[in-house]
Amino acid sequence: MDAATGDGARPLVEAAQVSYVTSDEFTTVVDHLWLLICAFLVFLMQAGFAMLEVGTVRQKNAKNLMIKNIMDLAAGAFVWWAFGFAFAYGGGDYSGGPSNGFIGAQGFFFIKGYDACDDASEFCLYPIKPKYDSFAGWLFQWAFAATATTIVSGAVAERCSFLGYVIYAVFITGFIYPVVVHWIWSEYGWLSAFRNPDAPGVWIASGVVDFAGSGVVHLVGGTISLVAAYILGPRIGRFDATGKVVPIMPHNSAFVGLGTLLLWFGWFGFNSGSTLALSGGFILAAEKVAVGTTLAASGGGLAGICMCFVKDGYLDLPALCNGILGGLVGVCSAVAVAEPWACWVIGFFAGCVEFWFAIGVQKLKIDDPLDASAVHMGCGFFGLICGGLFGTRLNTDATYSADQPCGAFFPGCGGQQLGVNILGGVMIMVWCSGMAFLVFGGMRLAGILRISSKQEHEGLDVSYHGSAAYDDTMDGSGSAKYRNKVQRAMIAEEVEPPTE
Amino acid sequence: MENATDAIAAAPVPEFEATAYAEFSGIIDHLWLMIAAFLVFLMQAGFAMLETGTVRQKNAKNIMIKNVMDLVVGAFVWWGFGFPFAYGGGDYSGGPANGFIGAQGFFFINGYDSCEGGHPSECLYPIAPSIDSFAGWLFQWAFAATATTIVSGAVAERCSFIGYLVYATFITGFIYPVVVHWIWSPYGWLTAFRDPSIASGAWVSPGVVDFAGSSVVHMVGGCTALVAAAILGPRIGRFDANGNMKAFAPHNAAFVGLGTLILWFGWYGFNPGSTLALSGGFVLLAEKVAVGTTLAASGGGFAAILMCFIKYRHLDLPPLCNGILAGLVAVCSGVAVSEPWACFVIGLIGGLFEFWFAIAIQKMKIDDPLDAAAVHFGGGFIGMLCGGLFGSRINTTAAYSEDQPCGAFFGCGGSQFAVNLLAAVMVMIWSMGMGTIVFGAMRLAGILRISPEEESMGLDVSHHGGAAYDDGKNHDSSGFEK
Repeated sequence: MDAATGDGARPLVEAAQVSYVTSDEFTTVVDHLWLLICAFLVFLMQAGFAMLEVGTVRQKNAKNLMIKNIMDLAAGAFVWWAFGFAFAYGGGDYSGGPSNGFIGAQGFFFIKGYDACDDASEFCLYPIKPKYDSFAGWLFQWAFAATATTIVSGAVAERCSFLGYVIYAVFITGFIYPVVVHWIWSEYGWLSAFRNPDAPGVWIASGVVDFAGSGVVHLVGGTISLVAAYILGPRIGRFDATGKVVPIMPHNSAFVGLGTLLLWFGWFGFNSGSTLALSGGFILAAEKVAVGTTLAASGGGLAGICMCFVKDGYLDLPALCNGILGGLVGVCSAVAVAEPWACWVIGFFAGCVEFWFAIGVQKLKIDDPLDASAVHMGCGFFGLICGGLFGTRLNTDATYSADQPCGAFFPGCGGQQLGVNILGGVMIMVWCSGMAFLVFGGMRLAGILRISSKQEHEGLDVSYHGSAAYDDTMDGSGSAKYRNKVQRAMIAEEVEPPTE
Repeated sequence: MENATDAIAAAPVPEFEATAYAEFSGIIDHLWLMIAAFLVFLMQAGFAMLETGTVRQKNAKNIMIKNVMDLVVGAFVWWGFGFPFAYGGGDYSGGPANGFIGAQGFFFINGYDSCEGGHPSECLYPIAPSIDSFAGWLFQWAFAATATTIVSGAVAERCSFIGYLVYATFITGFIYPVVVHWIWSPYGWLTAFRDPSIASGAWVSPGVVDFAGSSVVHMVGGCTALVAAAILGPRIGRFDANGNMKAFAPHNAAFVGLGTLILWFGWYGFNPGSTLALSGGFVLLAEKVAVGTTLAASGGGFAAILMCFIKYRHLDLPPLCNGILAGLVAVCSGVAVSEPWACFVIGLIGGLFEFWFAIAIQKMKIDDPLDAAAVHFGGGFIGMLCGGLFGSRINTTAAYSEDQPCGAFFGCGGSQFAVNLLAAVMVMIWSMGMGTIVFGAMRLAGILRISPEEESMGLDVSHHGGAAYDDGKNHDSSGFEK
């Protein structure tokens, strides 16, 4: 199609009046559009996780899980705007000095965060620094923060108090998670691969390779999950008198499957979007990452199928889904530096790790309803290890820099990246478990963490939220005064719930 | 003003950093492929919900497992050999490609088509455009997964686990890629994209107009589905002693509707994405295709409403959804060459054909729980015919080339119609033949179908450890199993 010349009757002089697009405008549009699209995709993972959680818990708590998932988006957006993003990516500190490697302090509620219009006014139209300090970057990072926080809801499901939930969600989105982001993804972090040479303080060269957050997002969420589930205690009846785990069926398998597929879909934004750009050749990296993401999900799913058959002789849906999710979590760290075949391998072994980690958690008598710690802590730490093993020189050059070491499995790369990644993983676990003990332990000591056993037997929907999630009234009227038949019967007969 | 040439010569040269066109088109076109791939991927969630909602409750978990699993298996198989069979150029002896099947790029080995050094381990990315990029692989994987998952609807509620694994591997890894090679690769004997400099062997000029896969995807899935359903046999109790069909109502109508809407949504990647580019004017084509897609869904829906009221005096949800889907399937072939009004008509025809084809299949005592064969084989076949009828000259030139004939209704003669019909028949023979071999062999080996006891218990309880739903009523008040 030849737009410039048009048909023969129009004068050619119009061609001279064509305007061109500057490189700046083109890259800005394309890169920010990419961030926006991927932010939307990562946001949609919340719907996926909501469906997965709702489907997995017992019917009497379905509405509660849905409320919590929606609520942590709402609360998280406020908290991330107020101080989460500022702690994570803030450049300075309020005295005007540069940021330290531990935590940022700039841009609370976006004030002083619009980094420089010409006259350093308080109120510029748009942030003008690229990548993180754009509104698109804030949105993208918010979606990640919401992911880290919502992981924990799976571990505390069915017995956590409402107040407890609000408090921990604020702490995670607002403090525990942003600090780790600052270490590993900001320009100032003491473990960052993106370190600004002028940043002050100690730096562990060459920084962690954690492209899309096996460590920053998933290990953070998973570690907190394990501690939270431990401090909270198991659901009533989860472990029988001999300490064996009593199996619990998801109340809606269709939701479990739908949730997993929505999560996989959103993961394309989670991983590919972490290029943060399409210009400058990053489009090719983004596609390759999308392929690696797909193969990791495949490997993880196959691991889930294999492990399930080996152990139980048949395949159930949660094992298949958790395998897929474990593979997706495990590949986040290495996906930009590993070849596609390596991503499949990482996914497969991450799926195996997930399966056995979950069993291990149960053997410790810790009740984790969604296996959140297995999927996110187990596979998150495993993912960091893989990030130090599978990176090729070519891929690492293309997505990081020539100074970033490649993976230990490749000749000539050495063990430096593996060492730094393991150090990063250990520090994340130390930080998150320490903070989680403080937060959850504090709440438990204050007696505000767990619901009562009566509420637990009735189910949170009826005891906290006014009515059951589903309407099984005989006449289908759905009238609010007709509660779930079981609860009605209990109320009518004044049946005492079984004691613990 | 002097003459035009002087004006151009006098025009100021821009003195700023401009973006090279190659970078611009590379980004835009690959981004488009990625977005479209993600959308087509999401159709799997739509189909999963549609299927889960349609089957009886005792098999809901099984169908969800199968839908998730065929994505997992399909990605591995497509990476391993599906994509190489479909788009691979040569053969391993270094010889030229043939028009039947490809053989290059297994597990991506030797598939990074040349950086300057030419050695795969020194290349970062495949550099040939469109198909041979990672974005192209992803987009094509999503299509392959679509073709495969169609069959799960026809074998629902009575197919064994091993049977499912075997046929999913065969379809994604062989039956489907071969058809792709014929019709969409530059080497295929039926392709409209034939590249004489690299292809060898017979070619049916000018190749098939099947823009988004009425035959390549939908007929492959639908024909295999029909054969599978026939060989597998009907669900117990589906046909009574007199051969009358008993209705099995969907166990969750909300899922049926949700699934259909997610499928329609993803179809915006499936059809418009098949431009494979936005630059060079293709964005305008992509938009027009999106409009045609919408109108076809509408036409199919209208057909369903009409037929339902004529035959049943009321409208039920599954027929409405199937009409919409059939319209979407039918328009895949000709959506880029047909005007929007023609897309509506194609959708309408597709919906009408699907309605009666489904009834005919039932009359043949074949039990197809999702009407997969009616929607995809029926809709796809009719779509192929329409692809040779409704193409206008301008659209065909813009979407294909000047050498591609337009449709018979538009004064271009019958050659496109004839080639499309030939392709449809060949795809039907290939898919039904391969389907017969695969499903027939499994049936003879006794591994295809579950036992009657398992079927009456339901696959969830017999195969997957327990029911899909647990409302706590059958257990103590804490909801745990005793």
